[in-house]
Amino acid sequence: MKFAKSKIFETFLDGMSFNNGTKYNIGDAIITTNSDATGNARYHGIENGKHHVNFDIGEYEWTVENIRATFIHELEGHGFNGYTDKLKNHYKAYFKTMDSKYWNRTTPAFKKNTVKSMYDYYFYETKTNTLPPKYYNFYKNNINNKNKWMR
Amino acid sequence: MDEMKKVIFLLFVFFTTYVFSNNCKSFYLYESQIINYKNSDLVFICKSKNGKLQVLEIFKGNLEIKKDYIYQSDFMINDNDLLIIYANKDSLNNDKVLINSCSLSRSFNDLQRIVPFILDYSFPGLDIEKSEIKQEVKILNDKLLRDLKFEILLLRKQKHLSSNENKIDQNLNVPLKYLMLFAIFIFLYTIILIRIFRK
Repeated sequence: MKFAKSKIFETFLDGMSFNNGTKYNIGDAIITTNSDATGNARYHGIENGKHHVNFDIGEYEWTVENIRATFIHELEGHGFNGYTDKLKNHYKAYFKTMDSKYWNRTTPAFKKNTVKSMYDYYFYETKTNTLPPKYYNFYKNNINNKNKWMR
Repeated sequence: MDEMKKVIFLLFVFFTTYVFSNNCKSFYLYESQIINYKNSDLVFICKSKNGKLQVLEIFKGNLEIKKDYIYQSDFMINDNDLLIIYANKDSLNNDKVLINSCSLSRSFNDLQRIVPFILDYSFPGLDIEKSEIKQEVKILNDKLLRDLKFEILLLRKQKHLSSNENKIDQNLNVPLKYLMLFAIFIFLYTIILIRIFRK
């Protein structure tokens, strides 16, 4: 069952593009779907020469666009660019998600989850509430989204 | 062109920094406390010293007070900080603890670290004037500190309850053993009696 779930996620990711134009094909990274009590998705670094990302999404729907946009946060944000809590630039990984071509077709629950996290990490890491205009608009347009997935 | 992009992708693989990071699930504080306690092998208060964690108080798990443990953490831990840690053991090294950034682990000097994934808290909004931000942050910090103190009280209570449960289990175990032996003795005795009477 676990194997089947990770295969579904791999199929969703196959053929997608990162913001820099790099294309992703099945097998380019290790994709797992192990249970994770506190993380929707987690970047595990490099294992045997491949990036490893685990998904256990519980706060928004498993649509193709939601999963691709999450993958961009993990792999392009944390993996390629090395944005991390340690360097206090985690918010930039959320910027990458919003910059992606999949953002517009993600669900309202995904958008709200992303803009909230983006702003919280931005404030925590920069100690200011002055977002760049592009992301300010994303935040304003999506923070009040409501649907059955939201708490 | 696709081959070219594949080469670029592989180059990324070899030249990226080795970091771990997460997209954390959001919970209310009380939920997160339960989830973190359940999913952590180790819960303790410690002081960070020379890149290690010196354990000061243990709430859960096998650790030694005053011993220094090495750690792997997704977030920055500064030296000489007092911290509450929810961690897991490293299966390869008993003296190493693994801390993930979505856990409730936090420094007493940096309580805001958990705000992005705890629904009880929020930072000052986008439209708050700069002059008001300081006051709002102070209110938030006060709440974070109050909640941390209460969390420590709960953990002490939980530790006390767990140790009492163990004592009760141990006390129950002694009569249970004798009862089992007695039952076996009665069983064997009955079989012998039946055989004697049949003869």
